[in-house]
Amino acid sequence: MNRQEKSQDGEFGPELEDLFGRMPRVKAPAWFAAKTLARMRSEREKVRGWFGLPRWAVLGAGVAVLAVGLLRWESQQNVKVSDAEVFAALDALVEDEKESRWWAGL
Amino acid sequence: MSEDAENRIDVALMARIGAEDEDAFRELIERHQDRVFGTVARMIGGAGPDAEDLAQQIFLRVWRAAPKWQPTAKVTTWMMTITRNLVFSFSESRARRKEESGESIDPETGETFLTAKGGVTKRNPQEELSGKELVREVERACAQLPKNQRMVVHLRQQEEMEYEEIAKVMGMSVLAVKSLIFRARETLKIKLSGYFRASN
Repeated sequence: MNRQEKSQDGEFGPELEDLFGRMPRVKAPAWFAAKTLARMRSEREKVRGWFGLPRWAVLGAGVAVLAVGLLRWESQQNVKVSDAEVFAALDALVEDEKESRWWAGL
Repeated sequence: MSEDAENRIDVALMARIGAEDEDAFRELIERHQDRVFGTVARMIGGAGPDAEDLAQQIFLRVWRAAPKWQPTAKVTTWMMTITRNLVFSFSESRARRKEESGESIDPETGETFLTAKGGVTKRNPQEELSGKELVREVERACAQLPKNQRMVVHLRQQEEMEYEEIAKVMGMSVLAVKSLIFRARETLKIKLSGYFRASN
């Protein structure tokens, strides 16, 4: 239904229709489409992230690697060797040395 | 071209946009930018940076929603619904900001931008008005309408949408839309009656 028809059916009344008819249509600026496309591309890049993968996936993988590394490092920090184990190892070295010397005829 | 044919083109464009076709997105923007930008500008009271930002956000939402979009309604109706949602939430947050900063707010419209003291009625209606001044007065009167009324008047008067479509956009019945238009018309008649003669 165009404005002329609407005026005829008196929806807003002829006076208001006349005033409305004087209001110019607001148009988008000439650069609007280009700017919107640029904004869309920038947003998409943010979502895509790096290496063609979504940014959340890359960040998630990075966090997971760091977490695993931290856990492994901490588990190594907690290694405890009892005195008996140390002496047993030293005894074994001494025995080994003795045996080697015996075989060498020393 | 008929509205159905126009909608068929939009639906085809949406399908291509869903497959991340930038050319289709550009075409859709160019087809609807004046409608979307014009509606935003009318609703927030100016075609400044806020209007541009909001209109861009509307198209970005279209882009994001395109892959899952189903043609249950006309594309223009759907886009106007997005426009209404964004514009209304923008108006509400702006009203809250103004309230927090202590600025006076029109309790009915929640706006301050065009409700400077005096508004429409301060001007002497009998004085001669140039075309631009008259348009400004009409715009002021429309801006002082509650946002629901302003939106339906704009959709009906400027965008020439059917009642059924407006009802879908507004999320209300056709009867409610007609009631809003009736109330808006009565308010505008009172506010602008002094200018009727000037306009003739």
